[in-house]
Amino acid sequence: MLNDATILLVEDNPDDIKLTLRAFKQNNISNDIVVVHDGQEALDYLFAEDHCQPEKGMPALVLLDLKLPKVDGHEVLQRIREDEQTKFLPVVILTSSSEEKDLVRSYEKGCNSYIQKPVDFGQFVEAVRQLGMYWVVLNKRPQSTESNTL
Amino acid sequence: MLIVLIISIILQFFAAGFAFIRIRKSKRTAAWVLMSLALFLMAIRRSISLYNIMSSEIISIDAGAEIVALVISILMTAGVWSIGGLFDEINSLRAGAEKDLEKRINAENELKRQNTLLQQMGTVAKVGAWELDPVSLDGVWTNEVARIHDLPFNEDNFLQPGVGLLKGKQYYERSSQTILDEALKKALNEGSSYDLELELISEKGIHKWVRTIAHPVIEKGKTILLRGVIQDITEYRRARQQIDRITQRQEQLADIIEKSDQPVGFGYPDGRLGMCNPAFSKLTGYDMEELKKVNWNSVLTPPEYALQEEQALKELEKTGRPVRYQKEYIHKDGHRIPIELFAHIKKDQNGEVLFYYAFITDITMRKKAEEELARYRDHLEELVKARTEELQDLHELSNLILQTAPVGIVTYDSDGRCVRTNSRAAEMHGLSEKQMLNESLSESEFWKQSGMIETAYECLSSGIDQQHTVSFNSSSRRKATIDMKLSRFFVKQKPHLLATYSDITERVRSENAIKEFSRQLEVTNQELEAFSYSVSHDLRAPLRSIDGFSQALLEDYEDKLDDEGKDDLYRIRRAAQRMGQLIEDLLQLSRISRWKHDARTLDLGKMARQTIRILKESQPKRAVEVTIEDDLNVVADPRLMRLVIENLLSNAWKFSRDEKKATIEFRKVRNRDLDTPNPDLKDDTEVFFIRDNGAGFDMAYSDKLFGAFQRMHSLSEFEGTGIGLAIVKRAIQREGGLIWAEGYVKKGATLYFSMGTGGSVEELSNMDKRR
Repeated sequence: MLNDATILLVEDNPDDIKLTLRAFKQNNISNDIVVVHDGQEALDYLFAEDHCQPEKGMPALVLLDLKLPKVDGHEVLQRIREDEQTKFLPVVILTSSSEEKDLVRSYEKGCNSYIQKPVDFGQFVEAVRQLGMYWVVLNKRPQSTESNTL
Repeated sequence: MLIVLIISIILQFFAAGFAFIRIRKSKRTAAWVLMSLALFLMAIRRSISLYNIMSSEIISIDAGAEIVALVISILMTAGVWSIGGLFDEINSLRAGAEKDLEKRINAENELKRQNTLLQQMGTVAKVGAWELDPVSLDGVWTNEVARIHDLPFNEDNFLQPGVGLLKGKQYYERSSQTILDEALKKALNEGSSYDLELELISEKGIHKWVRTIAHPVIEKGKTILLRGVIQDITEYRRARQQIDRITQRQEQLADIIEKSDQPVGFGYPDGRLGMCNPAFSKLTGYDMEELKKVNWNSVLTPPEYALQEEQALKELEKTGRPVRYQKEYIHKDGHRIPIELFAHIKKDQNGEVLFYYAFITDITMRKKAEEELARYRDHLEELVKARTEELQDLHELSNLILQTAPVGIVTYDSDGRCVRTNSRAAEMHGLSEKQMLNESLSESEFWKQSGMIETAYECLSSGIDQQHTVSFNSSSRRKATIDMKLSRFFVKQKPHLLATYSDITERVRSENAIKEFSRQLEVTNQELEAFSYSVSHDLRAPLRSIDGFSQALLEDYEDKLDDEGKDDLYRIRRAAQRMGQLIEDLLQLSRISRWKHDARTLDLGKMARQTIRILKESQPKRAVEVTIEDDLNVVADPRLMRLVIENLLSNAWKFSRDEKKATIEFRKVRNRDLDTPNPDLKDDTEVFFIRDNGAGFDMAYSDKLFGAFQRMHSLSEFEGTGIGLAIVKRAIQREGGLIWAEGYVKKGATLYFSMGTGGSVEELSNMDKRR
């Protein structure tokens, strides 16, 4: 059912990384998941210094936490949208915050979705299932950007 | 014989005497001298003869000779006598001839004189005469006729040949010629006279008017001669026209005076009245006939005015300038008429007064108006007096206000001189009021300190009100802040400056304190926000881990855990989830205060029905009778009200679950219609309430109902975080409303709330109407 596109998970909390990966696994989402632990790492991954393609190609989806060491999620999102190569990249904010200002800022910077991580793990698994299904399987992206990046 | 001789001698002497007397008449001197001398000498010779005779005594007398001599003497005497008669005759004859001659000369002279006179008369009167022969049409005219035609003439001959009819006619103007032709024809054919005024154009081209009169001389029914006179009447006509004009003007003037409303009267110095017009008659009440007998001085004029009038007329007589004065007339019926005279004088050549005449104005109305005016003036004076008193009171009041006002008031004129001030202003200036009045704006230490001198002058010139808050070091060396208002006003059209200042030092100080407090509050708020953020973000992460990994344990190690272990893990998970919910609710509560309020018209009923539907879907097995009133519209923030409705209905739903016949109501009433109206609300304020028949609560704890984490029931009875009503209360507070509860254990609860200033739609629209 799922294709072989990569998913980039930007998350600093190891518990959350583990739980997220578990949720993917429980939902049988077998795509490659690249995990980076802060904003800078995420940027380094997407915009390698020599401007080469990431080793596993451009991700099909970025799951981005907001509160990150070094470079925070909003800035990462902004950089993604500013760059020609990544401006159409689906970015889903996955965070604990349900603050209005975080929501507003994220949408202003052009996030594609905003999901608050539920405390209840059951609900969390369900959320991961839905977003994986939607962004990786159902959602279509323009081919032009794809061909450029590939 | 001797006697004869003596007689002859005597006779001879007589003859000589006669010759002397009678011949002398002839005025031929030689004749009578010689004759009388010869006779005298003869008488002498005879006398000598007689002497000789007598002396010689020889008397020899020839008697015969002597007698002859005597005869000769007699004859001589008789002869001389009769010649004397002849001379008389001659003399008388000559005298007659001389008389005739004289007569003739006199007649000729007379004729000449007449001729001259005629000529002169003709010239002066410009009258000429003419005669015309009807057959030959030639004629004669006097030289004046020629002169009228500007034709040459002979001065010496009074009468001379004329130009004849045919040529003579040519000298008339065309229309005159026609008239003349007609008249001439009648005169010659029918023998009728004419007398015409015609326009003549002389030889020199001068237009003249002439009167020409002709009389035909008729013999045997035929006109044998036409005789006439012609007169130059140009001057006369001009004069006549002028007289006509003058007459016309006089008539017009007379007419005007006659018809004028203005009484006009002529009076002689002796008191008689001359011409008066009907208006005068009407004024005095006498008719025109009666006026002739009325004395203007004694009858018309009351005695007390006599002296005044006399003086006025004296003045008039002296200067000749018309005088205007007022007096009274006595009307025929006896009443007095106030009048004004404009009197003029007419004198003869010798400066004697002929008459006075005056234009008279009935000033009854004017007098009345003057009296009225005087009354008005008196009235006005009273008013002014009253007004002045009023102003005085006002002045005193304004002084009182000025002196007791808690603000400084000071006025300056356009030169910056202090005009008025009050004690408060003086206090701020650090001067006495007296010192203030001597101080000018530009020199004032107060104004210098405040740096407002330029602004003050600007206000004086522009008239634009100014308001400034000014800080400076006051006289007492403390930092003062005043609120200064400057405006311009006018006194006697000169701009003045009104400055009022209130000392707001204390206010500014407390405002600054409030500002500082607000700032600190802001900081606290920011800290709180940061805290909330942390709570939402960081506190939940571990909970998620606890829950997530508990679940992982349950899943991955299901076969290794006994039931008790599993139950423990479930408890861990429930606790984590409950804490997650608590955090969520707390965040909600803290957010309510931060939300931006957004008022709009809401249907609370619709909101309630949606909530009930969701609740029913979550617990489809429960049968609850829900009553939601229509028209529960309010103007409020939708998010806040959704929190209120959802929480209250959820509570009602939850706490009524043990009832077999659960009921939930959502209604509104007027405060006054409540069993116990809320004393903090107006009678007609709308109160909404949600009532259930569930578990209820003990009113003893009603004050704890709305506190955060306050629960009336144990978790095992009813789940919940205890924050719901706290959220509701805060939301209602943000709407400016009140919320309170009423309940009894196991007899249900009623939650009341009112809306605040936003109010219900009805209240709002009423407010609109009132506006």
